[in-house]
Amino acid sequence: MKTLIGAVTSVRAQILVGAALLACLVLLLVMSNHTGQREFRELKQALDELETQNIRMDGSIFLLAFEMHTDFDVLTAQQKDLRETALALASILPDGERAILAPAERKLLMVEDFKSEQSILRNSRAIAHEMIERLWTGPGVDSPATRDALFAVERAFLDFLARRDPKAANRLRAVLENPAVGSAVTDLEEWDVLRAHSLNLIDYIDRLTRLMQSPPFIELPVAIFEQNARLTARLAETSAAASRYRSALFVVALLLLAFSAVMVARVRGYLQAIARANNDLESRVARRTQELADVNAALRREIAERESVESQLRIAQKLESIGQLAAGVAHEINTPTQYVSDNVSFLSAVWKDLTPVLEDYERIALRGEADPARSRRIWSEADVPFLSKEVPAALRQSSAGLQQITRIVLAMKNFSHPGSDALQPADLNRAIESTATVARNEWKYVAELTLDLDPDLPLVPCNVSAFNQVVLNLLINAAQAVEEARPKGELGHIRVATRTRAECVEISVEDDGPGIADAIRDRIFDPFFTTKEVGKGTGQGLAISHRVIHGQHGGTLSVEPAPQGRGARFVIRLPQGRLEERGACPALTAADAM
Amino acid sequence: MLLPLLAAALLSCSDQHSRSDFAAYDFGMPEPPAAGSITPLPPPPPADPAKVRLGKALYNDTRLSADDSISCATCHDLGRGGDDGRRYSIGVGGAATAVNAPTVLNSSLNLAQFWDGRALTLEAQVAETVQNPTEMGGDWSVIERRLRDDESMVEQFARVYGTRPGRDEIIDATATYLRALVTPDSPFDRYLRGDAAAIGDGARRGYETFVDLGCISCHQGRNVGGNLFQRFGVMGDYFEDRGSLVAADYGRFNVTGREQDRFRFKVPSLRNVAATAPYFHDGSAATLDEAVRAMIRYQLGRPADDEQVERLGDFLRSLSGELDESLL
Repeated sequence: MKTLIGAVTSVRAQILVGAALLACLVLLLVMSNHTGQREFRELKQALDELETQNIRMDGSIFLLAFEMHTDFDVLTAQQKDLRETALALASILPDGERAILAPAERKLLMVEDFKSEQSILRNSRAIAHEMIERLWTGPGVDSPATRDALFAVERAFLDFLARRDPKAANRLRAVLENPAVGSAVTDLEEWDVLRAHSLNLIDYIDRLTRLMQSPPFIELPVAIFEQNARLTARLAETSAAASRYRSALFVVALLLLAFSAVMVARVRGYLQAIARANNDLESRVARRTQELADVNAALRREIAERESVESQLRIAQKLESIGQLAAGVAHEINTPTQYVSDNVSFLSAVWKDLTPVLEDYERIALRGEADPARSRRIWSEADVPFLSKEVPAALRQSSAGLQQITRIVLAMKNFSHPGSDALQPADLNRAIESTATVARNEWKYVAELTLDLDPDLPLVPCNVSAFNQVVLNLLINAAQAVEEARPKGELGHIRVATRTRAECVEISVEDDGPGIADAIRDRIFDPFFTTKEVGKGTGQGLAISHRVIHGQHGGTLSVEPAPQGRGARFVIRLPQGRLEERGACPALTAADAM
Repeated sequence: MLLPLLAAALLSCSDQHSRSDFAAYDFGMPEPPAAGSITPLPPPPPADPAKVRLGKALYNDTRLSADDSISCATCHDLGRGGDDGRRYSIGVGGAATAVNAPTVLNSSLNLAQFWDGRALTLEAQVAETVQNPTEMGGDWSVIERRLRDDESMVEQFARVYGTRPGRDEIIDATATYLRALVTPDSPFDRYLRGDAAAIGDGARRGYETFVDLGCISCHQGRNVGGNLFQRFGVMGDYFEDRGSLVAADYGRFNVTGREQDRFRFKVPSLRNVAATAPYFHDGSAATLDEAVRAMIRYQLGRPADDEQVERLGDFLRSLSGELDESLL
């Protein structure tokens, strides 16, 4: 067994063996169950039915024969039922027509005969008896001969009815045919009727007796018995066959069981192997996962590095712009410093010029040494009217110069606001003003800058330092664009505007430079994309700006068609309110932006 | 059973030949237990009304005969007690039938159909009558074709059987209609059910006579006959008296070939007998009175007076029932 199954190695072969065993099992099961059992039951049922019907019919015959039953309806219905059952049996029983239907038909004919003869017999007996009664009340009954004759007839008649045997029949016939009796009876009509019916009775009782003894009466039950016996024999045969099938069934079931056991063992082996493979797989997966985690960490490090590089880049850019701006800022500061310095020198000289006047005043006022001529000389030498006109002017100018310096320094401070990366509510107008101031040197020689700032602009969550950088980039780009385009000696125009929109604020930077060609419109926010000559830009400005506005602020930075149809228009939209609560900031159409 | 035993007992202990002694020992010998031998008609079996309607249409349809001249109703006129009142019926082509047309009323309660009982079912009877050359002479394929050309028939068959008109369906519908032709509630049935006033005194005494004379030996059961075969001429040779014997006179012998079946006929039902003259298989008795007298003579072979015959007539007339009007 073991070796046999051992030999069956392929999965397909195993399935085949299992299926074959199972098919065998099912086949044997069916064979052991259905070998003629149903057919047998059906036949047996019909035979039993027929037997019962026959017994019932016989019962009716006896009831009628003994006149306990007087109508033939029940018997007739039983005949009909029996015929139907016999016909049905004839169709399902082998040889049924001959074995069952024919005896049944013969019996049914016999029953018909019985009905005919029984009804005649009844009448003849009743009528004969009635005639005897009539003769006893007849006119000749007073004669002893007549009475003797009547006694003889009645006695023979009743004797025959009681015995119903040939002897009694012969005695009755002898009395009826005795001429002495016949001549003694006077009522001839009754006598004739009595004779006829009595003879009829003898005849019919004999016929009925022979009928009841005739083979058809017993033939049908015998046929039913024989068929039942044959059926039982066949059942024994089939049940023997079924038992053989059951034995085979048992063997096959055992085989199947053994096969299943081996298969189960084998499957368990497979399952263990799978479990082992699984464990192996798990460790490999763990290893792989670790590797992936490592790679992931490396990647994250790289990203962090990149971010740091980027932030360094941003700082570098900022430094670059600061560096770029530094010269301008220095110049901006230098001019007021120059004239403040000049004014201070002037005021020092004035102070020297005014010293004699003050000394003269001391002599006159404190010491009382009045000398009008000297005083007049000193006053004119000092040229006080000139001084009293120039000194306030110089002071005013210096004050303005210092204010200018203070403003630039403040703007510088604002611009380079180190701050944190966190977004804090900020006044963008002020940020724009500062940036414009800081970058003044960049644009003032090429363009007129218009700040069209919305005085009601709300505070917006913003990293001011980064925002400044963006505005600066845009301003410098605008200035460079305008510079490219403007005719010599003419100033271009740059316009920075702020507006409050439904969910956001909008900052636009427009110039009337050459604008942005459609071909490059899609690329201008790419890192390292630049149209500037080598050394004039790193190509990082707009890319960084884009990242700052989109990534850090959740806003948009887009380039839109300029209102006059020429030049460039950059629009920053920043969401209002707190960052986490801000709604969508729909990109406005150019038309809306106007 | 009781009677012979009793008689034997009496005989064995009595040597004095005196009829009055017998009278003294008269324990009231039982009358032949005839009471209850006739039972009321059962209601007709339940049937699909549409099928019965179709059967009725077919029953009255002349297309079932060869020359489209006669229908079942021609010879079995429900208005005439379910037969045609003729001695012999006239089939297709004017041929006379061999026997008198029996009534169709309550025919389903008979043990078999035809005088000789050759059809065990109404279906077999319909099948035979339709194609019998001396009756309707029909050809089933022709009949089917005729009915299939009739839209109304096609529609009715479709509704009842879901098929086109066909031989088996025609037979089934007609037989179903015939089974519905039961005539319950005759005065005598009402009397049997306890309504003493349902029949008159003459009929009641007629019933007693019917029992006393022995008619009830054969004419018993729910159909007052129809459940056995009996020899015609038990107590007298009817056929010799009538003369000119024909094959149909052999009766059931023609079916079974058995000698004892010679001259045997199905005992006809006496229900509605008053309406089905003439009587017997040969229609030889033109009136009920004649028929009763012939029966008494040939079957009972006994004397009977005119009053008894008259009373029997009263009783027999009380056996006429009513057919549901929808079946007419």
